[in-house]
Amino acid sequence: MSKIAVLNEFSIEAVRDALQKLDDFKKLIVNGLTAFELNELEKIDPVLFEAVAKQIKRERWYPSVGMWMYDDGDMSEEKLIRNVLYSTTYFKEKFDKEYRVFQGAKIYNDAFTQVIYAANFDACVLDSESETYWLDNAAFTRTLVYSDLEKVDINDIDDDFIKANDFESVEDEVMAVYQGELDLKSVKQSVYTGEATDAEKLLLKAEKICVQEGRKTQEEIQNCWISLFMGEDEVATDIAETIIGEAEFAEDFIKLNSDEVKVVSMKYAEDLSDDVVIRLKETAGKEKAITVMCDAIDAGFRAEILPYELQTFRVNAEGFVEETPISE
Amino acid sequence: MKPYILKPHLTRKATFMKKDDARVPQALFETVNVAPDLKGFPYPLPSKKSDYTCFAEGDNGVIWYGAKTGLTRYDAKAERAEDIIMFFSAHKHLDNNNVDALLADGDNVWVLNGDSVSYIEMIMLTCEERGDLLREETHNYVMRRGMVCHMNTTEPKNVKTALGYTSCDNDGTFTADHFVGEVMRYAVLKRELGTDHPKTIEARKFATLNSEAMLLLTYVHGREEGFIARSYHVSGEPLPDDGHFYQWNGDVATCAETSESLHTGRVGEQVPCTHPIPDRLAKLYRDLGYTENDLCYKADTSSDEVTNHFLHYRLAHDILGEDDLELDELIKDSCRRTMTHIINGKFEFLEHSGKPTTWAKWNKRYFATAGSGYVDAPLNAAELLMYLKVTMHVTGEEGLWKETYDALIADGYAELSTKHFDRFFQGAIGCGASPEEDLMYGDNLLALATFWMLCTLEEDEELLATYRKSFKSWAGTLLREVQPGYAFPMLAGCPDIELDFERMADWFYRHEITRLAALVKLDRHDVPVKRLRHGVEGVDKEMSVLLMPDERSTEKFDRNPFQYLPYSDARNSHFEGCYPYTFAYWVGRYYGFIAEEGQK
Repeated sequence: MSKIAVLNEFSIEAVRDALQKLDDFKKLIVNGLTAFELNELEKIDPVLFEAVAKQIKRERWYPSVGMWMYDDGDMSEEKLIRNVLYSTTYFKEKFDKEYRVFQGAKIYNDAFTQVIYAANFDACVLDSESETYWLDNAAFTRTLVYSDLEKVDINDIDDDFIKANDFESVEDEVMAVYQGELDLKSVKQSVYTGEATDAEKLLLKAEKICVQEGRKTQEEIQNCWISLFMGEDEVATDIAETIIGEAEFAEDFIKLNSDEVKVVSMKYAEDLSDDVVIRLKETAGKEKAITVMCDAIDAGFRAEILPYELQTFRVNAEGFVEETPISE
Repeated sequence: MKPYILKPHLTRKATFMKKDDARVPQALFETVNVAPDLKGFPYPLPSKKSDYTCFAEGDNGVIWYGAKTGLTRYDAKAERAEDIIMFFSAHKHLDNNNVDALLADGDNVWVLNGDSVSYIEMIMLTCEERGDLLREETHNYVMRRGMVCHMNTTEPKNVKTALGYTSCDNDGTFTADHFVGEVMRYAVLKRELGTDHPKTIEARKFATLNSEAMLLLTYVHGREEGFIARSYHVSGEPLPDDGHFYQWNGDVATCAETSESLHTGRVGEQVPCTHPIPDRLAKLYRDLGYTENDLCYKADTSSDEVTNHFLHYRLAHDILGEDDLELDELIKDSCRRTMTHIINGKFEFLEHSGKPTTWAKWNKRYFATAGSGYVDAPLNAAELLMYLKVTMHVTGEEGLWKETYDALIADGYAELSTKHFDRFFQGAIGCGASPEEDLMYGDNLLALATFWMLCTLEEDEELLATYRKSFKSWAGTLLREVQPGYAFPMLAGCPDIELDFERMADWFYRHEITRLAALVKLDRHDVPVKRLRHGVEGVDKEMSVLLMPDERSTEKFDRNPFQYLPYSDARNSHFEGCYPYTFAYWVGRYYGFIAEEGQK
């Protein structure tokens, strides 16, 4: 079985060591570094970052894609979505890469499967899991949770070990599983939603107010979310409060004909265009047909939503609507 | 359970004419257009508000809004939510989408579109009446020698240009599905009106005709061993450049030249055709003046065809057999011959050369092939069990059939049938697609026929539970379409599933009275378009909401009803058979899931 060489320690020395081994051994493949870590590395040591970037483009270094930065435990769906969104967007924009295996910790939120499925991940590797299974979601999505990896720390292995073994990326090993015979148990994801923190609520409110008032501050808000991922809630709160000022979001700005479907977020699109993104969630565990009306942006559309499903819509300047992946 | 009561409901009918047609009222040209004030309108509108240029008020407060992008009907008092806003567009209901003027006429409306006029009627019909009109159209334009599939026209939407012949790979499949509606209709009318009622007699006549056409496909090749032809043509009907056709000439049939037969080296291959075609079935072509030497049959039969023939064997035997012993004997003979062929072929359907056809394989050798065999295995395993179960039921025999059935159960076939969803999902992801993109809609009908039959024939509790579990593994794809034709057989097989009968009723109410192919405008302001997960941006997309049948394009039955279809004349140039509606309606009536208001 091929080994999975992983960079566990994020330090200049550890990265240098991994790069040196990649230079010395052509068959070696390294896995590791989140979007956050690569972003930091670029700030601290641009030359070293470029060396890693080259290896990522050559597909000899597979980053740890999924969350902007490592996080675990309870999490609100919007924090989870932004984390995944900013991670996948980073790798697409920076390296023109799209990956199919989510890597990270187990997140306790019933939207987890939906979010990673909609972000085009076909499987996930979760730190805490010790068996391989299908993780099913109430909204009829599923993902393969894979655990059967033989990981070694790239900084701990010596030349003899490298010479004696074959190495593979997490991505390739997991996706190869789809080509063989699979007979796995299915696990239903529990229905649980992590509560948004006060700082997250403020950011979501700021985004809605920006749409209501036609103010384009999405770039600033993106930075707030990243501060929030880093635990800098106060920074995010301060900026959100500044954006909000005295403004209040009018609850009838967007009208749904069902109380059981909630507007999770309403914001300008992350690509900084004039499009508005509306994210809905069914909260009562019932499939339903609904209408969404928002005259201010000339939008009025129908939606069919499954139990506990998240749906994301993108409204263009003409009021035409596209249902998009959740990570929008 | 108590049946859901269906009520009479408005049905659309569009008639197209030139604006100088004498039927067009002068008042249509004298209307003065005033753009409607739609500020604060309480419902999503199919066109952008600024696109609406005119309106007209009809009876009962109904308002018609004309736009540069289609026609909207607003009935604020409609009982059903789906009927409050209705959309009409080119080319199904309008010649083009630019509405120049409107004139309300009671429940109906005249629509001026440039040089053309559409007269849109809203006709009150019961669901049974709707089905009768659809059947009439199918009988007049689609059915040929008892087979029902589709019929091409040389011009889009022009009934008069129907060709009278067609080429179809799946004549057996679609005729079987049509037969289900016809034979269930006969069973219901016989139960409710009696054997001698004219409607019952008419129903039996057509169900029998379809059954004979199905049986003819199992003899038309003249091969000694049981085989089923995909289709057959008679002299004068041009052969399509597709597949393997064998032309009768005395005691041999010779493979005709097509691109495919050239590719496979079968041009000129001679196959004996010495097994007699029963006279009762031969009359389907002899009565039209043809002889055996006018026959040209299509081989390379798929499991789709075989599965639907077994569906036909069971229902024809159960419903027509007792009153028509001659037909019942033909059903039994055909069923035995087909089953024997499959067993002798080691669970493959064989060409005369002994080589298997491309898509009719039910053995473990096929299941072990990577890709299609692995993914097909759960359904194909269940199909073979269904064939055996139906054969035992129809012939009343056990022997080899029971021995084979038991051996397959011991070999894990029933358990394998439960793995459909896992393998389908795995297969889709494994080939880089998304499950919703990789759905084989045609497989839905096969699964339906297979598990419907298994769940209503199997008496062993443990096996029945396994088959129900397998049936439910298809629920995601079958019930996604909210199509009673899928939902009712599933309910018959799995009585514990929950169905939303209101949505089923909407499907019946909003079905039109023609199956003439026509596309509609799908870039609507009120319905999002869904970007598919792995799809190419701007190319691979679906409608986010399942539109009512009368607002969808009329297209082939087993295609994705969410599909975002671009316009093309080719898609607009044929008639489809009516079986989607009649299958659903009469299966529902047969099982007592639905009834008409006032029906005893």
